[in-house]
Amino acid sequence: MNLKINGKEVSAAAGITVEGLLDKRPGRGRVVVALNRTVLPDTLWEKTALKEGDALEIFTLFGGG
Amino acid sequence: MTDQFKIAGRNVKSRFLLGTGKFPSNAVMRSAIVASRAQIVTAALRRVDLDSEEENLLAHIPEGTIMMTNTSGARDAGEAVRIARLSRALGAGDWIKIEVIADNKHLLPDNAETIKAAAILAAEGFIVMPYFNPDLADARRLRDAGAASLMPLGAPIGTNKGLCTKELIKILVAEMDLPVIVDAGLGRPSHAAEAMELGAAAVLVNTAVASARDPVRMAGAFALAVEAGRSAWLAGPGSVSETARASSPLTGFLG
Amino acid sequence: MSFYNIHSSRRGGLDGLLKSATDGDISRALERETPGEEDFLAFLSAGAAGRLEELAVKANERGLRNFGRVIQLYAPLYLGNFCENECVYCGFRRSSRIARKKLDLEEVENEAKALSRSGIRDVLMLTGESRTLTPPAYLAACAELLKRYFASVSVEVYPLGREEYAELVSAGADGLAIYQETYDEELYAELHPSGPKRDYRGRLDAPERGCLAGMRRVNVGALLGLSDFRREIFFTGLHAAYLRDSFPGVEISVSLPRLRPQQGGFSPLSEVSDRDFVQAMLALRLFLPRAGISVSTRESGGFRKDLIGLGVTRMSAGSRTGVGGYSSPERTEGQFSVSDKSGLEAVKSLIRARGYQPVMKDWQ
Repeated sequence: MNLKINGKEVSAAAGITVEGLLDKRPGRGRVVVALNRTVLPDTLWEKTALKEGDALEIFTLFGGG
Repeated sequence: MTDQFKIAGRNVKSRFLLGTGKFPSNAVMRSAIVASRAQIVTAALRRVDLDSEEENLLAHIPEGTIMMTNTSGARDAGEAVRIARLSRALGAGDWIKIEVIADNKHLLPDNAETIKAAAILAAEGFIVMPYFNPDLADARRLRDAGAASLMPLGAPIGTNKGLCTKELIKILVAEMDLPVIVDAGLGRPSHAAEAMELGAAAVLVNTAVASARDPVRMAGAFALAVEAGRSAWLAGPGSVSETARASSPLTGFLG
Repeated sequence: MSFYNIHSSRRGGLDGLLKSATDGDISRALERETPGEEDFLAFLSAGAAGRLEELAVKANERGLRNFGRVIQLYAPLYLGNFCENECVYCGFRRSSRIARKKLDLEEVENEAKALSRSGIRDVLMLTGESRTLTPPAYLAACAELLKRYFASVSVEVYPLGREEYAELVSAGADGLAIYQETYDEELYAELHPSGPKRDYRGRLDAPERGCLAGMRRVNVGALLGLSDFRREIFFTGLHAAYLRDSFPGVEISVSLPRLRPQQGGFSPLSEVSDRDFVQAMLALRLFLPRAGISVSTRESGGFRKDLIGLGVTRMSAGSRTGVGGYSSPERTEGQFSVSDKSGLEAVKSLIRARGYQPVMKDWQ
């Protein structure tokens, strides 16, 4: 299925959960996830399956002023 | 008499706030924070690139540090509010530096949008620290909106030009009860000392430390300068000139 | 909120503070960009009396920066001298055997014509305290009339309520002058044995009511020669600062009326020498850099000439302090005997001689 992650079009396995997507990251720092502009608490990452057209944003803290 | 620094009723141990951007590495950044003795440190919220190895910033921040997310990237109040809420959901705490910049050439803040964001975020329980262009009327609006401090710019971000807005900052210090924290543009420890001598409550520095040849040593230098400036302010400087007048042209008529 | 709270909190230990200012305190106060209350005390201290030239240099520079070389001229117009009070120091007090008069509107118009013919554009209308004979409605009618002849009309009358001040503003008045006489509450009671003026608090809050009612300019002060001048000027300064900070849109000014001989011969309770007067003025100029300072014809022409450059921004000229004094020969006793009897032209020359410009009206 097609998803948008951080504004980029990507294709992913149908029905993949948020946890499943994040699992692929090399790093494991703390992140916050917004699904379709709403914050998704980490307790729901495993349970939330993504659908066609979903937009996911993943943020973390970086160095900044 | 101890010199207590309080923001929103909370004791803050250091009047030197440090930004974490532009450091050559996270390790250097951590050493710089230690050398600076800063308690409040800023960070930015950014999108994570799923494909690359991201180091966890928080792992390199010393314990006991207060994280203050900066809403940098926000072009209006709505975006700033969103970043603040995301930051809170991330577990980064309630301290938020509102930075709303619509002008990408000079990176000057948009005071009107900053005030709007401040009102919304203060109502949601954030500790609002607004970065703004030092206008007294806007300072009053920020206070009324619930800001916990005022963060007037000394000079445009990254210019290292020092206290270009000195006279306006003096007015803020004189007229406002909120702590005045000079932010942006301080390029040298002497600038920081000068800001503190004017009565600023604290300073925030990033570029000048991170881009120094030896950021750790520069962080230490700034820490000393902030302490020196603060002590000088508390000591109350003596008079600068002693004028001995041989004649009395204005009051001679009194005899 | 009232200035009374501030006054109460600053009353104690004042004499000690005034005496204890050191040379260092005075020097630091002179260096301060924005002098505060403690610096004001230093300027008023006995120690500063020996450093008036330094204060004068700073005050002169401040005055030039904020006002330029300009002196605004105005003239008083006494509408009536009926009074229910017994202020022991005043020539109009109820028991004084003087001819009492109140101008009717036709007479006010004659006065206005005569005075404005001389070139005066800024008038201060005065009465004694009589709500029956010179009631607020009468005052409003006079203000409206005078506004036809003068660019600016100020009033110096008995304390009014906020609504009454608002009516004066609607009628055309833009300025209010009211002096506390003495800020010392105990002395105030002694000096005002009977009459409505006994109400210390009501009088103290009057300038604030004027500000709330829309007066553009408000002038406060104390009568020097009653209590210790250093204390009176200190409270005058604080009062002015309180009004300035509470009402940023109002132009606040101060006056330093010094007791003059009058019918009945009341002598000042404390002496205020010329040197003291100058120190008071310099201290006020330094503590209130943007406040106007007004000096009337209670002071002599020669002295007023020397005061130019030390902080004064407004002077009265060609003054007649008797009722109906402009259009008819002086038939009634003046409130005080005018010291500077020089006419308007003489005052203008005196100002020009100091390199300053006399100005007849502030704005239109």
